[in-house]
Amino acid sequence: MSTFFYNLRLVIKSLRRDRWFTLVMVLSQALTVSIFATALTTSQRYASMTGQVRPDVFRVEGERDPALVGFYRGTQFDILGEFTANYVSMPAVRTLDATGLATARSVNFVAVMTGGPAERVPGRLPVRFCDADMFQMFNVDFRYGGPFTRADERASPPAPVVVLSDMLNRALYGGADSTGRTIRIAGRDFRVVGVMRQRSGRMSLWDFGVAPESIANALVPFAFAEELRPVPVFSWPQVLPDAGWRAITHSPNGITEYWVRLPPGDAQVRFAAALSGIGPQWKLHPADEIARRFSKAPPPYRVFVILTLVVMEVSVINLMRMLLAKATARAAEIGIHRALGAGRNVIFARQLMEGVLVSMIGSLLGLALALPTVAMFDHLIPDLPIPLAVTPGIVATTLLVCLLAGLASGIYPAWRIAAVAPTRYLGKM
Amino acid sequence: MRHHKGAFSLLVLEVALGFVMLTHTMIAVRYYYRLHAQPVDMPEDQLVVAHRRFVHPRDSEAARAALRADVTALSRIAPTAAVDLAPLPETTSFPTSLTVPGDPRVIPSWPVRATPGFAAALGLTVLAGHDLNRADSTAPADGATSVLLTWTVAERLYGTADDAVGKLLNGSTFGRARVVGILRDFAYRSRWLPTATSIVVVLAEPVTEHELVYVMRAPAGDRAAVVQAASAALTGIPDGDAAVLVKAFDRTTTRFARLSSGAMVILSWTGFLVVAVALAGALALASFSVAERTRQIGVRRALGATRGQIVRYFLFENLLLTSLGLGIGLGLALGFNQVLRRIMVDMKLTPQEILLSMAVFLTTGLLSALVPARRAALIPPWAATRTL
Repeated sequence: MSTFFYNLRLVIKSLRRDRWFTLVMVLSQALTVSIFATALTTSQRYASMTGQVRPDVFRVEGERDPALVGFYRGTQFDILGEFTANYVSMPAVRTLDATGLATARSVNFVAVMTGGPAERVPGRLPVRFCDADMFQMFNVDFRYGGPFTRADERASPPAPVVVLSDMLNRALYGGADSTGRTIRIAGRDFRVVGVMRQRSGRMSLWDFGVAPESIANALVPFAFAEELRPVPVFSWPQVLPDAGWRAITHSPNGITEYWVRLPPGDAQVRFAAALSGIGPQWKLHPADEIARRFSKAPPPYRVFVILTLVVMEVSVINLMRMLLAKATARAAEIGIHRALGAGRNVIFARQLMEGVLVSMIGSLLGLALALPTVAMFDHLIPDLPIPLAVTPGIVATTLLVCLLAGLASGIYPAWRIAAVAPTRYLGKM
Repeated sequence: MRHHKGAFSLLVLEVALGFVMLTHTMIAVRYYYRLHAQPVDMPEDQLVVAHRRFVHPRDSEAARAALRADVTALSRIAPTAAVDLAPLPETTSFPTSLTVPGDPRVIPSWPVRATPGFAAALGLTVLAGHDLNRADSTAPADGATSVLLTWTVAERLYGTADDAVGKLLNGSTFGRARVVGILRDFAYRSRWLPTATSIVVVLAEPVTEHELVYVMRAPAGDRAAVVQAASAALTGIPDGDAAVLVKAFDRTTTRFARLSSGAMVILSWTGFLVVAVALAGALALASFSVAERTRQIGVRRALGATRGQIVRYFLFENLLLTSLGLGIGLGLALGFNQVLRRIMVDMKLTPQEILLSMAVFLTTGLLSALVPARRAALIPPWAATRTL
């Protein structure tokens, strides 16, 4: 251990001696790491939806419409086309509900309504119509208050309660506890009972397929659809908006996602049989699998990560060159060390330590710089209203990549310097 | 150079990878610039968008009555059309499927439902036939709805747009229709949507139970007056159960415009970083080369080399290494481009990016070599004796 600290002291001395050189190395590394961590953060917003949903939850999928899938194929909306091509109609939902097999179930669609806080002029308000079971099926966490319940939606008349997404609560109430406040939707007053907690820098599975401008939404019990007469944002094939909710609810077109919770065994088999009664292509798609399948950043984000990885490689080579230049320029000093008995392994370890140290200092500085860079990215590219966040996972991944980069940068110069005989170094004196 | 093959190989590799990175950053910047700057062929700086939002959902017939009153009032101010999906940003829709009788092909297209005067209200050019008009509103004997097609969608449907007027088609959401006019292509501002110029405009009164949307075209330079007059006109129609919002369309504040300009800034910063890192490294290596070769330079000076020759030697050496790096980088970039195009088809490498990136690396390489080269040239011939 004492050798380690001795070598560390020598390395720090060496770095301090060429301060400007060290500064350039550290800054180059830091700037590169900051942009890499930013790219990673942006792509991670779409990743890791697994664990958000219970394993016995399924999405009911109807006949996929090849025209819609084909329309989006090859574009950055490829996945969206596939996801929305499986929306189901309300008559199908009613048929499946009648089986009584699901222990939990929820329709889930978004409509743009007129509304907002009761005390303000009504404006554009995206509203998600869903059932109380959605909150438990998706393990929804709450920042304030709690979900609306089955009792709320089954009361006669249903209780006028609403849950806000974190983003909508921030937009309407500046993020304060809004439980108990009144939201007016299509002229009807709803009491806020809860504000969902947005997972840090991560998209939620239930937000998938929702347009960015509608992600900050209010959730109301589906029981109010009849009264509020929503027009779902997505439907395939399209339903005419002037047909009104009463026509839409009888339309055979896909307008909603439909999620069910089915205990393993008989219920699943019987439910699958009910599905094939509707159509041969109908199936249950496990939510976990959907989470895995659709947890994929859009192509521009993936390209951005790949590009920053190339920048990282350039940075590694650059650091390697600078370390090599520095070590070679100080060949005489290393020669003395060797002549005084320092083995090749000691020289190698010392040089390697220098590379790793520079890389890690640069990485830590880069991670600190990533915070304003990420904030700048969020400000400049308002792609999703879900705020970006540098999560511990991103920090760990970046540090690991940087450690490997540091080792990669240090090994070659260390090997080159350690391999040369002391007489050659001394000859340069 | 062979004495320093390790260090020089690294320089070559760095230039090669830097070249790969810079060319692709340029491609991405170009992509977003095109999205940002490409005209959508609508006079956006003259457009005014008005909304009447019903506080309580309103039956379709009542909504239609409100729409007719609003259009009548607004048309007195400027050309106006009611639309259910203004072909402007921040709107989301799903495509509709178009077919031609007797042709099995299905052509997806973005549907817009609009009232007569649509092309005039959006400042669009009618290439053939005519704009939607009141005469079209009378249902013809065959029950076909009147539609306008953009040139692109007409070409796809009929092979040629030239004689598409008067032909029939079927729309998955509006049924049988007759083409009454062909519009010069215009596009949704979100141009990354598939076939953004494939648009079908269907004659209909576009109402929902919640909202009515109007688009107006103000005379050039007179938009503020139109906004004010339209706002007064809509609020002047007594309707206590509605909220009115009228605003000049401002593309710069839209999410799309911010997103594309933001992407350009971020990508440019990334590109700048890679050049800066490479430049810093090049400077360091060049300094090192001089320090390492003091004796060698001294010998050359003692043997009669002039300062100019020493400078030229260093510049030539750098040029040679950079060119080698660029050559390798070109091969890598072409391969890398094939991979990236599987993720994003628009990332096509063109000669412009190649030439511009080469110019950047050659210039920065020579500049970075110039400082140490000049320093090397100052080494006196007697330096050759110092380490002998």
